Amino acid sequence: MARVEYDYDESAETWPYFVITLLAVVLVPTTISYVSKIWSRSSSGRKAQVKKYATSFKASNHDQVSQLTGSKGSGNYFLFSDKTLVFLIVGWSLFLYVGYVIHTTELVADANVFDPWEILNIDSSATEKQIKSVYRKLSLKFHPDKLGSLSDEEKEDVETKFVLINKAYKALTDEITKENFLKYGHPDGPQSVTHGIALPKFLVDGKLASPVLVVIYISMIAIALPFVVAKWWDNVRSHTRHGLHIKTAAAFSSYIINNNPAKLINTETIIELISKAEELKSATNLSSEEIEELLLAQLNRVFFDSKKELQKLKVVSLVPKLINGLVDIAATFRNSELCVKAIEAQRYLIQAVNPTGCSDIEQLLQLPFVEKKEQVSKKIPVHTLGKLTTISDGEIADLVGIDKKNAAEVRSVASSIPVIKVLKAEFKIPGESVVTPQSNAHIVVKLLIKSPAQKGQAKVDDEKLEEKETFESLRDPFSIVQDQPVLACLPESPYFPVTVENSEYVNGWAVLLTVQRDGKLADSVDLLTRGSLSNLELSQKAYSDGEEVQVTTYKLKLNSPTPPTPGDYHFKLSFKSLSYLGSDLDIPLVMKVQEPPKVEDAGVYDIEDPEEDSIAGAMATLRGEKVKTADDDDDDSASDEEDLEIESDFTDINTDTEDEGEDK
Amino acid sequence: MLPFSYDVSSKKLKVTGDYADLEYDIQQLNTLSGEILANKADVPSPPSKESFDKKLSHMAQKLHESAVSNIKTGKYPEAIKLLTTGLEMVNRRPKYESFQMTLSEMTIFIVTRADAYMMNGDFEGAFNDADLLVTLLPSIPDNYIRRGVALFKMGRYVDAKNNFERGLSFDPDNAKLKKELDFVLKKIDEENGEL
Repeated sequence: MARVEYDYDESAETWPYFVITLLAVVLVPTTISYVSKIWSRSSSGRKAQVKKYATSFKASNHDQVSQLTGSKGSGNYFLFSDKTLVFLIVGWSLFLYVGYVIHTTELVADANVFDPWEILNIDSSATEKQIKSVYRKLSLKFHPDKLGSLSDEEKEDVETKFVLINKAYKALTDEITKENFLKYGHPDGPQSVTHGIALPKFLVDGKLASPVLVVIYISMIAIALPFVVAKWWDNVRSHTRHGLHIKTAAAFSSYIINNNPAKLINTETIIELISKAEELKSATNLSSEEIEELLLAQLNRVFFDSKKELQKLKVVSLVPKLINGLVDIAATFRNSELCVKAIEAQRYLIQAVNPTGCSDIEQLLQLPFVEKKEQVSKKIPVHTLGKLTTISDGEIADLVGIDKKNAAEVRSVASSIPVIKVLKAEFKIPGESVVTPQSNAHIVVKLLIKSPAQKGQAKVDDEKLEEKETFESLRDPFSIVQDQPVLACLPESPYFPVTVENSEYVNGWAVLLTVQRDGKLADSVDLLTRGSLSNLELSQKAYSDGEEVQVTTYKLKLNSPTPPTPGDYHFKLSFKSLSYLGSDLDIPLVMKVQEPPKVEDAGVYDIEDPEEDSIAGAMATLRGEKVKTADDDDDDSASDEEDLEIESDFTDINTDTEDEGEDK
Repeated sequence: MLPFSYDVSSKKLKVTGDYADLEYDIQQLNTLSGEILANKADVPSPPSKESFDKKLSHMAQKLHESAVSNIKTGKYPEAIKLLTTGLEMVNRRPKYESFQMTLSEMTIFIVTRADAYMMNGDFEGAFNDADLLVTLLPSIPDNYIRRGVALFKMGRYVDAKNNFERGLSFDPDNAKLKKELDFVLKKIDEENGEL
């Protein structure tokens, strides 16, 4: 009769496999996501980068800035501050250890496993004849009658062996035994059922057993599980979808709702609002007032002693994420003014420029060596990066009040701040030649990311501006954007630490679509974060030539459908740089909504007009519809051509808006 | 307990305690109730065109006329002063009167004052008035010319450009806007060292 019992894993055969599987289940996905994160963030293959610009300029808080960015300790700081990485290292070393344990533990042959071929020491493909001959040899060798001088123990051994050999032979030759073997894995029929527990015995049986197991169970079910669930739930409850703390989001929303429209929003207003954020309070243990003071100090380039400076930069480094959240919330209220001011405030904080009273020279204040606004000469009429690149080194030195030997560096930084030039922008509905009412449209923008030093028009081939509509592009029109590398804008501000956490909020441009009629946002605020920066390194000649110029594609998905009635709808498309001053661009954009062109000849799928002499034809004549007469057929080809011509006329209708031609 | 109390002698509500955001609402209530009380009639007439105080309109018109004649003779500061007085006067109209009528009266003053500021060379003043006009009447292209020109004079060329473009979205064939836009685009190129 089969009996049921539990086997404990005394010789550590099975539980390491169990543990290693569990480890793999956790470690493999975590590793993959971690590696892909690292890959997308730092891999030079995926990122569009300008050659690392080396500056000799060191801001007063250079040490603290580099401490936070981790650039000083060649990445070590970043390496060990990362909890995931520590977890992975510990996890994988455990994995290797368990693997080692498995490797060194020898598998003890299980007596219950019955393998007739192995017992007879023959190949599984052996014929009956071979089996018989081997059996005969072995049974002669191990026959109990032949044991003369052996000890009792040895006798017993040989006897069991003999029984086994007999069984094995029967299993391979006798019909019933063979059936038993195939069905139950043993020639004697069903064996005792064993249930293994992948735990060493001391955990289950024995003196310590129950306390240990009880403790483990309690810690798993009563502590670990509720803890994990509570933590997850707490995170869900305390943070919005965009990772903003719920209290912060509430403060932002209530500001927008209670905002007095007559009150002007400026950078200080935004700073006051941002300093109420829960994230900043919990990161620094400071009050809102102290945080506001630190942010204002950053804006005015006030530096503190090492410890407080570090605190200030920590607060500042968290701001981009908060601004992003604020812009998101403001966008749901369609508040374009607040969005624009918030993005501007972010740039002023990153570049540590207070625009009050010097908004005309703000672009110059973001350059290295230009530490104070008093340095900038008012006599030279240069206010923009573009103009600065056209004057001589001597004039640059005079303009920003620096030593002449540093002028070349200032020029090189000014030329590597990316600006946008739009070549083509249009509303597009996949598969349609015009913008039809009540459709899901997106905006396609073909643009150049270029240096302020590159002047005039680039002769870009029209081919580069066209997109072929393939089946793939119709299915996902945005894949062409996603295939472009992530922008990593350099040079970085000397006063702001770009960290792993905030880098996604400081590189690229925010894209706002506003309705000209009421000046409000038409859609949520999007980011332009992918494109090519290679144009920045082109010479003026190569740029004008247009051969090597790389065109960046940007697409803005509109969440609301196009208007139901045909007509012209005016928009403004704004690109707002997330970190630089003076690389914004606004272009007007017209959405020409019109009914889709009527295609008269729909081809073979069209139901033909009924024949005149059929019943259907008679019915159609009664209803006053067209019927096909016998001699009508000849005209068909001619009218087909005519229809085709009409169609091509419609496809020629151009929904492009004029290229702006001028930008900042 | 309610955070405000009623003062019998002045017949006004008063905020008790620290309720800064309530202050503004209470103040508006006081103004309205004061005006209704001063009206003497038990119930003020409905805010229609007919009940609008024509006498005050006449006075405002007179003020406006003299301001315009001042502008014509080049006496801008005097004109601005007159227009500001007129604006205050219109602004003090009882709140129960038709706001539509008050608003149209006000815009006449603001338009003239914006132009007077501009001619006087006070571009910030001109910008403020033009900005108010854009908020009140966003679909009038002329208001964008005013605000754009003021911004241009203040050196904010890109903002000026955006204003002209927005103005053109309401009237794509507006010759004045087109001219101003061309001009500012050239200026932006010049600023960027493109020319």
